Formats: sequence, C-alpha cells, structure tokens
Amino acid sequence: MISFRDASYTYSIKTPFEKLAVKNVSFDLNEGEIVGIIGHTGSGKSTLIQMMDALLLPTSGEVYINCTSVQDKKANLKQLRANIGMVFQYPEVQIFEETIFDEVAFGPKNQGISGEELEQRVSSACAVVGLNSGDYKKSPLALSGGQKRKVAIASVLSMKPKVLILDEPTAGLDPRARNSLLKFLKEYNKKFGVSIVMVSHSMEEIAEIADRVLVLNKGEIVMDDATNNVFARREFLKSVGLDIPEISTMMNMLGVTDCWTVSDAILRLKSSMTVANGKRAEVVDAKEGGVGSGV
Amino acid sequence: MPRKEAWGAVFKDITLGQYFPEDSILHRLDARIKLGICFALLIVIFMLKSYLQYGIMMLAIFILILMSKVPLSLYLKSLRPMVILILFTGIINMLMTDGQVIYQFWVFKITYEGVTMAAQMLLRIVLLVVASAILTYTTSPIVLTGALESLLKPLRVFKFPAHEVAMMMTIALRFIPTLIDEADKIIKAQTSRGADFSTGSPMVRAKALVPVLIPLFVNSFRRADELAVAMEARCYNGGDGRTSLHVPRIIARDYVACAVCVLVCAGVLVVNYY
Repeated sequence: MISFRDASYTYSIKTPFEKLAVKNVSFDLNEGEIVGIIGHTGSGKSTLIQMMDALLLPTSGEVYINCTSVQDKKANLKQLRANIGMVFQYPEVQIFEETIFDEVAFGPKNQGISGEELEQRVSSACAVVGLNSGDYKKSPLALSGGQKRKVAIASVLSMKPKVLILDEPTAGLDPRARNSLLKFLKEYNKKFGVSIVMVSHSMEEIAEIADRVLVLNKGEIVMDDATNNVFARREFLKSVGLDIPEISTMMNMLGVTDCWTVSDAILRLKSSMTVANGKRAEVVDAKEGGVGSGV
Repeated sequence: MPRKEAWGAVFKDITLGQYFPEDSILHRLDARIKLGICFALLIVIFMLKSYLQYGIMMLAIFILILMSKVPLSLYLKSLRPMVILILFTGIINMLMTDGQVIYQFWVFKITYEGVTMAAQMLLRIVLLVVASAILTYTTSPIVLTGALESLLKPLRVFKFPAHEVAMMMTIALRFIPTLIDEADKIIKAQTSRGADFSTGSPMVRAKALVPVLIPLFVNSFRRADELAVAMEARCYNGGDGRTSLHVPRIIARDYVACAVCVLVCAGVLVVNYY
C-alpha cells in the first residue's frame, strides 16, 4: 500500500533553520496489517505519518502510495490521499460544519460523491463509531470532547480509506472511551481489511493492538519487527527513551524470564492467578519463577 | 523530478517579528535607547537634502549593520517587499518633476530634477527600511513591547492604558506561532479529507478556506477564554503595582550610544552649511 525507499524529510530546507526530521527511512506497509509507531518525543513520528499521506513530500528518497511515487509530476495527490484516512492528534479541532451530517459528508463530497451514496456513506461511518442518526442535525461544535472525536473519526472513515493513520487517537480520552476506540479499531481492521497505522506513547495500547511495531529514534527506524519481538528487547527500548508494557515488566518482576511475548505474558499471568485463587502455595512458587512449569 | 509542495512549509517560513538572535553590542543595548535612536535616525533621514548628507547617513547605517552581526542578506530580504513601492515612487518622481528636460518621448519627459528626486527618494526609502530593520533584527518583540510600555508610561497621566496596550501586543505576538502551527495542522487535516486550496477561480479558492478559518476562529476564542481564566486565576488585574523580573537598566554604554547618535545626527544636519 505504502512504501518508503530511503525517504528523508528536512524542515525549512536551505535556510539557517534546517532540521532533519526523518532520515533515510525504508519500509513497506502491507494490506490489512496493524502497525504501531513508537518513539521518543521529537523522534519524527508525526513527520513520518504526514509523509504517508503525501501531506509532506520527501526532500530526498521516494515514497510510493499504491505504487505511485508522490513526487511524480503526473501523480494526482488528491486521488492518492483519498486512499488514506488521516486522524490527526486531537482531530476535533478540524471540525467546522454546522451539522454532524455535513461534517462527516465533507470528505466524500470532495471525492465527488453525492445523493444516496453520500447518505449511505455518512450513516455507515456514523454507525461504526456509535453516533445516533437522530443527532445528525446537531451542531458538532456543541458536543463533548469524546463525542467530537467520534465525529472527527467518522468524517475520516466516511471516505472509505484503505489505510487508516491515527496520531495518538486516545490522548485525552477517558478509560472507557479509550478501550472502546481500541476495540473498534481492531474490529474495523478485521471486518474491512483496512491497514491501520497508529502512533502512541502508551506501550500498552501498542501491545494490545499492533501486529508490527516501528521504533523511531532521531528520525531513523531503529527497529521494525513483530510486536512481541520488539517488546522482548527492554534494554534497547530503554536506550531510545521508551519502555516495555507494564504487563511485561510485571512478568519480569515475577521472575518469568522465559516468556517475553506480551500475549504470552497475559495468558500466563491469568492462569497463574486462577491457580493462585485455588492454592495460595502456587503464588510463592510463581515468585520463584516456577509459573511456567507449574501451569 | 522533485515537485513543489502546494503549500508545504509556507507557514513555517514566515518571519514575524523578524528577531535574529546574536550577541552584538546592538543586541545588548537597552531597547528604549534603541527605539529612541531609531526614531531619531528616521527623522534625520527625512531631513536629508544633499548627496553628501546621504553619503554620511549611508555610511552610518552601514556601520550599524556591521555592528549588528546580522547577515547582510537578511537586510536585503527585508527590502524585497518594498521593491514595488521603491520602483513606483522612483518612476513617478522621475516623470512628474518639472525642470531641465534631458529626454522626452510622447507626453513623458525626464528632467534632471526628476532624476535627482527619484534617486533621493529611492535612497530615502532604502535607508528608512534598513534603519527600522536594524531595530527589529536586534530586539526581540517581547523586549520591544516592554520598551514601548516603559516609554508610554508617562501618558498614563492622560488615562492612556500603556500597560494594557503592551500586554495586548505581547499576547498577540505570543500567539502568532501557535496560530501558524494550528493553521498548518488544520490545512493538512482538510487536505487529507480531499479539500483543495490551490485550484479553481479566486471565488472557489476563497470558499475553500472556510473549512480552515472556522476551526481557527473557534479555537482562538476558546484559547482566549482559557488564557483569561488562567490569568485571573493567578490574580492578574492590570498594570497597577506590577513589577517585572528583568528590570532594564540604562548603563554607560547606553549613554555612549545616545551621545554618538546625537553627534552623528547633528553632524549630518550641520554639514550642509559648510
């Protein structure tokens, strides 16, 4: 879907304020996968995802969307961007229409869709994020923060993107909204085969949702691997200013060193807890690192 | 073949309050003194008559440019927006001044006086722009508003709200980069939703800006509200009795600068009588 080949981006190029934000990045985003992007503040995550949507064009190297180079003079960027849905950090600031319906319809309208299909697009996008059809005539600016974010996400989904990019979508949401958003993203990915790219500072969220993780440091991809393999390397992640999810740390404290993978850790912890509920003695065992053999 | 981004870094490149951080004598000078000197120079520039006077003034400005340690290219950049104005006034002056004709075609005639006038006008505008650029390049906007507040203070006798005006300017300056960042983000968000800002008739393009301007306004009002609450929460109630952390003091070098300025200005004005 999206391919980076040695792509770099420099802000304010050829001025005294030049700043290299993304450096020689190469990777491929495959269809239907969920990719998490993690990195320290200022590591170039936001620049990288903006390059994925051709909002920033690489200052050197190549970026391909649907096998078309974004630097090709003949490329229609508007068409390329239609494949990619971009949910910025705090996306509710982009809301401008008078009604929820118009807001969600803005994207498809720009794609030239009208009439019945437009209505169908809006209602299906609103339905997946859980907005009632009775609210279509309400002003989106009068909604609560969490509702506004739903409208903003629906207004991206209504364009039926093949890739959905989200920049810290859970920032500022309460735990319930956060959980339902993550659950929704997982289901949406499974149901429609849409690739999802998610930037987050929460290792838990990434561990929960991503199949694959890109680790950015100072504008470079320093790791590109399956989620479990990435979180298995705690020391390395610490060296680039990150950490592993709490659950992995917990397992580490319990002395379970042979299971590093997150899902594994959750499974083992759960089972050891059921055992612990039955027999207290087993917990002592677990502390000594015997969980693996005990279950 | 690399293609140009439609809007890309446009917003990032705007130089507002074009302060250029450096460590020069001019940067360290008290802002009030700098403001005064700049004002004096502007007045003197308007009073220049002979080429000798222009020459001295140009030399003085050039020395100031060197002292500011700001690259010469930046000063040339500050002149760029004025090019049309300079050319326009130059040509008008050249064609409209009566006197000894040196060249004539159709209804236009170029006179000796006209050429002199145009040359002087051109020099004058360049000197004015560069003299004020020296001030803005060497003084940060915040310091400048502080200086303005301090200079306007005596006007409080006439109920002029010096502190409030300075505070308003400071807040406005503070939020310019914030607004630019936000506009950039909103433009990108709407672009990714298929909005098109670069094609169509001027009317269509103006309409395309609505999805950018509305969120920008809504957020500005929200932010203004939040800032007002935050200021009140910290007991802000205007200028009375407020002191500042960095109290600017006029020291020896400021007096020297003043003296030099007076000497140069007086010299330039007097030189015509010899």
